[in-house]
Amino acid sequence: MSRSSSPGMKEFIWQLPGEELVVTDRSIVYISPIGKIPGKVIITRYRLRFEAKDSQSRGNCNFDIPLGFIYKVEKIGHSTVTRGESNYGLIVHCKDVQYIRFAANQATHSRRPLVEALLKYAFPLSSKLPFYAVLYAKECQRPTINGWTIYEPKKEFARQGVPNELWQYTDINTTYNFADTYPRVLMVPKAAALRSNLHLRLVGEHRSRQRIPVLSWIHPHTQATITRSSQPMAGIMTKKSNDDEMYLRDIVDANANAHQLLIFDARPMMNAKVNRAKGGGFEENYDQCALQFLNIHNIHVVRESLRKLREAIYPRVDEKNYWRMVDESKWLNHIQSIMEGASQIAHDVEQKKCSVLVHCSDGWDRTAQLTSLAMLQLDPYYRTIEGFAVLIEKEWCSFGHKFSQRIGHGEDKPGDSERSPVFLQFIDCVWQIMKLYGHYFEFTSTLLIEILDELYACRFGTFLYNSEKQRIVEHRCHETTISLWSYILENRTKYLNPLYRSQEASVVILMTPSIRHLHVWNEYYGRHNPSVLAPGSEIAKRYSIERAIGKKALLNELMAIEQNAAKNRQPVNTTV
Amino acid sequence: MSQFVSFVDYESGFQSASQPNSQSTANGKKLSILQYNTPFFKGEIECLSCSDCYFAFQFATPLCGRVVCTNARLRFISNVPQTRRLPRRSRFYEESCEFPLCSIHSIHVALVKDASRNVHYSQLTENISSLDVVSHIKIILKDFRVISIDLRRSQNGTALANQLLFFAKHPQVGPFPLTSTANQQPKEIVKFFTKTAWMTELHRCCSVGEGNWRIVDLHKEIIEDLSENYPPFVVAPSSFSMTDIDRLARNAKLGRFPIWVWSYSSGSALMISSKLEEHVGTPMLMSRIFDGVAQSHSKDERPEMIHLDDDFQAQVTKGYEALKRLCAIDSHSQYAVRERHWLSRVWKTGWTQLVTNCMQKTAEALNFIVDRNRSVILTENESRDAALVIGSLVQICADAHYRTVNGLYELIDKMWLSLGHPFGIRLYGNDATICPTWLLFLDCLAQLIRIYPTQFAYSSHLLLGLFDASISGASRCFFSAFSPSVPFDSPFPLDQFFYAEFTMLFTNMYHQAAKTVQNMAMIRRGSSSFLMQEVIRTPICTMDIELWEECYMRWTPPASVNNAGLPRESSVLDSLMCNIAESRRGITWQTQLPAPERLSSLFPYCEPDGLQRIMYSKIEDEDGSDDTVSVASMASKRGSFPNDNDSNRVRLSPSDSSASFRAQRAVPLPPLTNMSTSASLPTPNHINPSSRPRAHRQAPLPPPRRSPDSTIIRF
Repeated sequence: MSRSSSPGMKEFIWQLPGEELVVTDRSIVYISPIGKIPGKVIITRYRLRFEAKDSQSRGNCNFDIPLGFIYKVEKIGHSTVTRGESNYGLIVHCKDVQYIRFAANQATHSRRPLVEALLKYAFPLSSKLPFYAVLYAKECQRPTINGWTIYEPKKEFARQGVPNELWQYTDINTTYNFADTYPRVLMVPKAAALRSNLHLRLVGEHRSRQRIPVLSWIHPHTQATITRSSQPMAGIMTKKSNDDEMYLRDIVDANANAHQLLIFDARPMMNAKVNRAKGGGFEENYDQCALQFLNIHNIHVVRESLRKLREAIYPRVDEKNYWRMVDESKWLNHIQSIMEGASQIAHDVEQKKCSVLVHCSDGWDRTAQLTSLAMLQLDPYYRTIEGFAVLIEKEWCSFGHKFSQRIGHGEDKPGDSERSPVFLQFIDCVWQIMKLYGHYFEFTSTLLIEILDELYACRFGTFLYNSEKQRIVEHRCHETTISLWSYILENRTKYLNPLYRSQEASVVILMTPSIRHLHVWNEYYGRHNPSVLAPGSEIAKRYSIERAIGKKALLNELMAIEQNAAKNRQPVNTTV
Repeated sequence: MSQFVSFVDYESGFQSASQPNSQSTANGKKLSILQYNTPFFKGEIECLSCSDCYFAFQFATPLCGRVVCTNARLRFISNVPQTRRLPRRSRFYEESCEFPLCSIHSIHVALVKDASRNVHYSQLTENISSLDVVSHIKIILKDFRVISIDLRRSQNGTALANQLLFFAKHPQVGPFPLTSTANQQPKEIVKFFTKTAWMTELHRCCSVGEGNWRIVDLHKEIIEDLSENYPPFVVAPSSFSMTDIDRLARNAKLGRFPIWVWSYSSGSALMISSKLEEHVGTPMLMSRIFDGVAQSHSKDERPEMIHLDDDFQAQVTKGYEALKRLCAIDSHSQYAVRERHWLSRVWKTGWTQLVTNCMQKTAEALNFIVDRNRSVILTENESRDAALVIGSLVQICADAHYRTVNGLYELIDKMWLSLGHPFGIRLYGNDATICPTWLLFLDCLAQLIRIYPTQFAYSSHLLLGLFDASISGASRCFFSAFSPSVPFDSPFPLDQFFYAEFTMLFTNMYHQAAKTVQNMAMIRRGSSSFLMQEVIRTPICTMDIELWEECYMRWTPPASVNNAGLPRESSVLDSLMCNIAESRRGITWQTQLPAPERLSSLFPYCEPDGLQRIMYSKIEDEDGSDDTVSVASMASKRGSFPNDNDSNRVRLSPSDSSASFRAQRAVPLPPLTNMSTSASLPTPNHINPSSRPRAHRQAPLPPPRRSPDSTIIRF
């Protein structure tokens, strides 16, 4: 029943490098939303693959789920007690909306090896195994483009025009000794850097986890900046720190166009106040600073919201109550509050030429969302494929968004309260902007879905672990794994948007996210739903209307034409 | 009765008053002055005029001027000339300052009664006594525009209200100039009143088994004039004898016996029928129908009968009313309040549910016709509403011909105009009976265009054009309650109602591009890339249905954004195709759309206004239950209209300085605004000031900016 192949041998066409077969079960029934489909399940080191027995439904019903998607494996029924053939089996819950239910053969105990293999390889951390990303990188040829070098902090800052006479690097964190969740390379006001590292350390003491305000983005013309940090450690006594205030004043002074620093606290005011009890707080009565709360809810609220949204959509859409359920999930409201905050920041930086400081509690969830979305609106570079990769590497990976905890990579802890779809929320926001302003983006939503899929799949090292220190220093991911961006840049043409006009796209998007402009991202959330019309959905395949739905097929054709034209043009250029 | 002027005559009659240069308006650079000299129709007379009143469309700044009411339209003439940013659409009405009276949905008036300054609106259903003094009139149009007229300085308010009521509610009493009976020979008539049209259609649809159907001349075959709802010629199974038809017509409601409307290429037919009266003979008649239709099927398959909901009309009426309450808004505070629980509010209208239901029924019918090769008979109580919606959708989905502009015109001609949809009752009835099935059909079609953008040769602008033409009373076709004995002039093509600036938006750029790409692929690879499909499927899941904001929200400036959405994307695609065509031979592409620097997402209906940066997520509901918003509560409590002592001040800030309107600054007023006009926007009473943290900075007012939604070229 189970067999393993020798490594390096490729038995199936779909097999990836380093993807060993683990278990095959030939007598399993997949209980799909449209009926029972008998077939076989193959579990490899990377994926769970189902192949239907019936050759007719094969094309439509085969599916692959990377093991990294698995959130929970649930056994249903008991081998001796349960009656009825479909009541005995297992349910595989996934981190995106779907879950898969199988009915196994009760008599042969065939469920046991399946479940064991799933638990072992879907949760490699719990079973002390390496991530598949490591095996993949070992067997895989080195990619031609090294995605690990796509984001070089110094190159990126140089693009923005810093260091200059007002901003400069500090070496305080080169060994991650100062703030271990921060990147090595930090950009601080020159005035502060000149004061000595002790000053920075004192500022660090007043900020949660030493996440001091550092530069994220600087406006090329006005020198208005976006800086990010964690909350100040004001505490219940609303402690003050002269160094912190001095430091913020340095940020104000670094921008000649405004005399005020706008501080955006992403949290609702209540939460910020409650945080005081835990030693945190917010900037009160700072000179030359104005504080505003953005009313964005925390990871727990967001997680709950996605759960409710999922209930409305999967396994089947509640025809009667769908709209109400989506509304009550408040998913779109959360999206809206983030986008409003980001638009506000973009607006203040672009139009009022003010510098802004963004923080929440720790400055790695909501802060990352806000700064990256604001930067996406402000800087056309981030709307190219490379730029988007840089944006994510910079604002998310290097500034310590805790991917490992928020996604729960490789851990069998489904109830972990640290998990939350913060990054998904960010990608959803990007999609919402793209839906309105699609022609300002070099890529299409295909890239967004690809990123989300690879986020869970653990084939690449980009989203493993919690911080730059863990990723690069402790686990040396840049050597042991391949970066997602290598893969994406090698397959670049797949994601290109033919409607992108690079010369026209150099604009700032300033939007007002009214709820009327926000939609549920059907293409992503609804893709596993059998009755939702989307390219690739079950119903589209059944009626073979995939290419008629939406404009994706047309855009792909147009892209192919453009690529061809570019190819043909090249020889002409050389002769001229 | 001799006053009728055909549109062509009308058009040639006023060459001098042709449209102002629209090229410059499209660019938004040079603004042209609004013209008030659109000529009246023949027979249109001025009935009443009120000077010194303040007039405003939804969200606009009230302007001082003169209101003129004729028997067909209401026109506002501002004291100072106004400029136009958006191209003019209608040939008959200057949309930014006048509207046809027949498109009025309801009128609400505020009377001067007590000493309180509160403006309290109540709906006008009967004439008011001339002793009452009307101070404000609010008019809601069928396309959800809202017009407010402040008549406090005018004497004629009461007369105006009565006048409006008379002409809006009794369009059949005084014949509208445009709808009076024609004396001259009409140029082109509704096609499917003729035998040839049905024959052509039969021939086109039935590649096999054309002989299974025959054309029935109702005047000859039915002794009494039973089927007055049907055109003179219809198509029935050829096995139906004259007696069969007579008997069926006598037993079917309104005499609408089962008739053929369309056949799929496999030979399965689509038929519509009203319900048969229940009596002893009904089963026999039913079996006669089934046998006859089966004999007409290429494989003698028994037809499938799909019964449609009897409750349909009531639901449409209810849904439309709720939709109106949701979307007919005229102030930012109303817009902001609806921001909360928007999806629930949409859901509560029931309109999206209706759309979903229609889509599901269509999918069911398609399943029988396309996948199972069975004929389908759609039966409805009177087969004048739901059957037409679903019948039309089935044809659009299964026959690519109807996804072309002319095909759609033909379909509407066949299914709606000829088969007797009672437009007169459904669109021009009083507001208890108004039941825009027609709008529901257009909505369903718009959903399909949204989902299958490459499959339709027309864009949803064509649908909006159709709806606007139908409610403006411009064509008699959309005005009649029953099929008349004399055929109407055809309303198609729509160019007779609209200027080219609007009709050129009817082209669906995605379709054009897809067709070009497919041709190119055929040249290159010798095979087609199959971007085009013959049969498309309707969405069956409510998740795929969206509110048709392009229609219901199109007059709402805050719902629009600059340089975004479909209009901009289409124009980008347009220029891309131009580039592609330039670089290769054999491909032609002409730039079809204007590409101004700023293009509103709701072009050409409205543009985003200045007052925009509102933190919607912070706005609290004052009353959680404003789903029962009446017009009375729609108007904000005070200050909705210019205050007399407020003049010479242009102010847009909410009265409560700490309210959540963050960036408070004046709307960029048109350059030539009358400075004596005061403009205070409605106070956002709905906004709870306490919802905003005190810690908010007291930043100086932001510098003037074009519009927060605009995009700024920097590099």
